[in-house]
This record gives sequence, C-alpha cells and structure tokens, in this order.
Amino acid sequence: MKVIYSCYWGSYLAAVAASLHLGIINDAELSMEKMLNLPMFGKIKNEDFGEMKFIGFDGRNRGVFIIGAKRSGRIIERALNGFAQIYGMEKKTVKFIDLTVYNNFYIGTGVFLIRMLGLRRMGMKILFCGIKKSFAKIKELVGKIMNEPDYFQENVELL
Amino acid sequence: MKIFYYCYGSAHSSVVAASIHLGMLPSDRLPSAKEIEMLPHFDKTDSCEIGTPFFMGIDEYETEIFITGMTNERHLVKKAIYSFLRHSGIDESDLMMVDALKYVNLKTRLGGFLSRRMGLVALGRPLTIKGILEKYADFLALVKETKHKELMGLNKT
Repeated sequence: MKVIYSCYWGSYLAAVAASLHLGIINDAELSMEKMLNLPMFGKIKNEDFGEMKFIGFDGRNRGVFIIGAKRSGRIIERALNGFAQIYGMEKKTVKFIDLTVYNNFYIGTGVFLIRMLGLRRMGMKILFCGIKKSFAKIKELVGKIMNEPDYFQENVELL
Repeated sequence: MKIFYYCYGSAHSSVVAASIHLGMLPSDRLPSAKEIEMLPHFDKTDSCEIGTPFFMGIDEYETEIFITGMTNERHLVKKAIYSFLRHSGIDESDLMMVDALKYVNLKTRLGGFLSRRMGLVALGRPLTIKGILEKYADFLALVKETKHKELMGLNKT
C-alpha cells in the first residue's frame, strides 16, 4: 500500500501529516523549528505539483508519500485507483488522503506571503499559526488512517 | 500496450477519439448523430467519475484503449499518474496518453456544460454532437497519428 497525503501545495499540511504518520513528530506540541525541519516542508515548487514525493516507510513497510494536488485531489485519487486496478495491483494499493479541508485563513495567507511576495519570515510565522490550528485535527485523522481496519488488517497479515 | 485518450470529463472528445481508434466510428465518412449518441460513455460520465479511467476496448494490435477525464488540470493529473507508476515499478514505455481535448470547439464545450453540469441533456447533447462533427476530420487525424506512434512503439519492443 502507498499512503499518499495530499494538499494544495503538497509540502505544508501533507508534509506535517506524513511526518506524524512516520513518527517524525509525535503528540508533543509542534514547534516552529520542528515544523521547518520536517522532510520536504515548503520544498515542493509549483512545477512539481502532481509529483509524488517519497517521505519514508512506516512501521509496517508501507510507503508514505506527499503530493501537491491543488484542488484536484479527488480526481487524482480516482485516477490512481483506476490505474492501480488496470495494472493489476492489489486492492487498496492507494490510500489517498486529501487534506485541503484543513486549510484555513492563516495557512492561505502564510503561503501567499511566502510564495507570492517572498516574505518568508513573516509568512512562516502566519503559516505556523494556521498549521497549529489544524494540527489536532490532522493528528486525529492520521491516527484514524493508521488504525483503519483495512489498513491494519492488511498489515497484520504481512507481519 | 495501453492507450489512454483523455479530455475534460471523459464524456465527449476522448470517447469519440477512442471510438474511431476502435472502429466503432467510421474513418471514411462523417458519422450520424445517432452513431455518436450510441457510443458507450458518450455524454454520460458524471462529474464524480472524472479521473476514473474507463476501458473502451482492444484494438487490432491487442492494445487496450481507455478514456479518462482530467478537467483543466491535465498536466498535473498526468504527472501524478506517471509518478505513481514509476513509484510502483511499472514500465511507462508501453503507455500512451493522448490529449483529445485540443480538438474540442466552443459548441462541444458549451453543449458539455449544459448537459453534464446543468443537466440540460436535451439541449446540450445535440450541441456537443454538432461540435464533434465539425471537428471530426481533426479527430481522424489525431487517431491516425496515434496509431502511427502505437505501431512505432510496438515495433521497438
């Protein structure tokens, strides 16, 4: 199985979720320093939208990826599931998680300042506020995904 | 080999191109409106199905032909697919993605919008067909070029 965390830009909400999934960050409060040092955080450029970036394998040897899908997460999810089926991959090869619902005003403003105006320091501070606001919800979602019956059962069989 | 004709919503241009490829539409004359209307998936794909690849048939070279919708994010969706296949260890060289949307004119766009988005099928569907018929020669040329590339690809392997 491939667990793919997706958000508009790919390297903010998705990077946080993937890091939570892989235990790079845990339940402790997210600090600005920790956030900036997450793998791929803020590193996906516009020209890399759509490209799956590998972050690591989880405890059950499943690949964890992030992707910048803009607002096309659902379309990409259907496409990847379809292609997986066409190429004879096992069922539930793709676990696609669209995190755009966790976007908020602060994240949008922060990213705008960083990407459009080049105001990195100010933008990061605002972005951090936004991510902190969504952090508990993302953590809950990642926890749910890791304990989902289909995900869990498949992995138990492999252990 | 697998060929994927793609367009906005996998309801019009990709269906027509794939159908010409598979001989379900004529290559030597204009089809009738009825012939187009009867095609599988023509003006039927719902918005919630966009992205899903649909199997259309197997051509004379044993190549599987599919259609898929990518909205206006064709570059992004294609990139995601190729990236996924690479990470899955699948050889992309036997895969062709063909853009069928480039030959869609205003009539088909408007008809598609009315039929698929607004649910005004009786108004939109004839308009999409009219637009397709106007550009039919371009679709024939697209399929001819695709088949040429398909043969070149098959000869390489």
